[in-house]
Amino acid sequence: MGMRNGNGGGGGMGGACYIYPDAPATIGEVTPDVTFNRGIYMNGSMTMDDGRTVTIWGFTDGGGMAGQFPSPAMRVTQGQVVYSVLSVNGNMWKHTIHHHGIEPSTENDGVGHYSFDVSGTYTYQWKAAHPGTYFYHCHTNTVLHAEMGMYGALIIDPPEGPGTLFSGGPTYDIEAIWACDEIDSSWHTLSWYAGTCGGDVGLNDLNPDYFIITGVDGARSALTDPAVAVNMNVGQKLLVHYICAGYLPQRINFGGLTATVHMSDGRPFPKPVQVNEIEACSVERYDCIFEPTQSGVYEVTVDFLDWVNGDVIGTARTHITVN
Amino acid sequence: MHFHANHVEWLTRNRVIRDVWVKDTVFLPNNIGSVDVIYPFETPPDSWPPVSQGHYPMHCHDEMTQTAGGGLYQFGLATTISFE
Repeated sequence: MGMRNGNGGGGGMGGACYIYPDAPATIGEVTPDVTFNRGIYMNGSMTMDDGRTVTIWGFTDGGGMAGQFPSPAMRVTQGQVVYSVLSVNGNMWKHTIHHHGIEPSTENDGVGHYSFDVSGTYTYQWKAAHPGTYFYHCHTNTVLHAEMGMYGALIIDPPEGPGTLFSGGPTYDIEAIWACDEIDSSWHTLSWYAGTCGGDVGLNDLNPDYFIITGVDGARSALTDPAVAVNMNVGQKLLVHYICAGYLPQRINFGGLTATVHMSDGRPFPKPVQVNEIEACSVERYDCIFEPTQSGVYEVTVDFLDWVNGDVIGTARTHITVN
Repeated sequence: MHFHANHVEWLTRNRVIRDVWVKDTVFLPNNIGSVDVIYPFETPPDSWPPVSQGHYPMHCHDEMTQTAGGGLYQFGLATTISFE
């Protein structure tokens, strides 16, 4: 059996096709070690450095405040059984959670067209097998929903807990999550099912006008915003969880600092590599450790590359300030 | 290229043998390049209870490619991996 066929619209979702609403009981349900409750919001916004506001969609933490962007991170310990409980109520729209890099059963993989788009409440059950940096995002009409902001970081710590990358691997003192993404604001007025019944709504043509790091505009704000910019001391070890959260290739340059990269996509390298920059494609993750020996302000640049000709079409910037 | 259900062993890029990294997403650059990977068909490691059957996509994650004619998400550059 392959991809599901046929139209799945209806149920008050006029205009949507190839959507498969369901919320079955979880197969083989067991008592979890940790539970994340996720709702959704469709009315968030992000104000850019130029003063414009762009609509953002995302996940909430339980009944918590809507609008957090990126969506609240999930952090678990290797070996734990996890519930990600997604509630999509009201029959207005459908969504899923795909835990990118996590490899569960088909039903718990959260790809709407291979299983179902959640209508009501579904409990994704999975076990955190390998420590590292992951990513979760909606996989309904994915091209649009992930662009709209429906994603968050997912980190699996080894049994030693935060501060160790993986058992037998390096340690770190402080950390940052840099989820680098581009936004095409012209897409951000579309309906959740845009294009699903056919017709050209432009989802093959991404022309980003904003370049952001972890929900902060990389034009200026990310240079100083404490959610992104790093302030550290000589002698400390910094771990950057770098996530290529957009669709375009990226080149992240560390401004003269050297990163020791120990793992990617939740798997250690046979031997670490030392680099001044990384080229990555959509949704690769690289875990980078920095041990700066000189104080200074280091400017990190993230170039977003045209996916056809490789030209730089935008740049986001932040700082690592070493005291 | 993103693989669901199993990580791959990434062996070559543009026919050059490289350090083997285990990845769920491999960068295939825009130069008519190539990569060789091994998809191991192992029990999906995060499944609980463990499963031996299922069907999953492998797909380009430059999501613009997941469309046909500017819409019709899911009818783009993707195919199915089946554990039978």
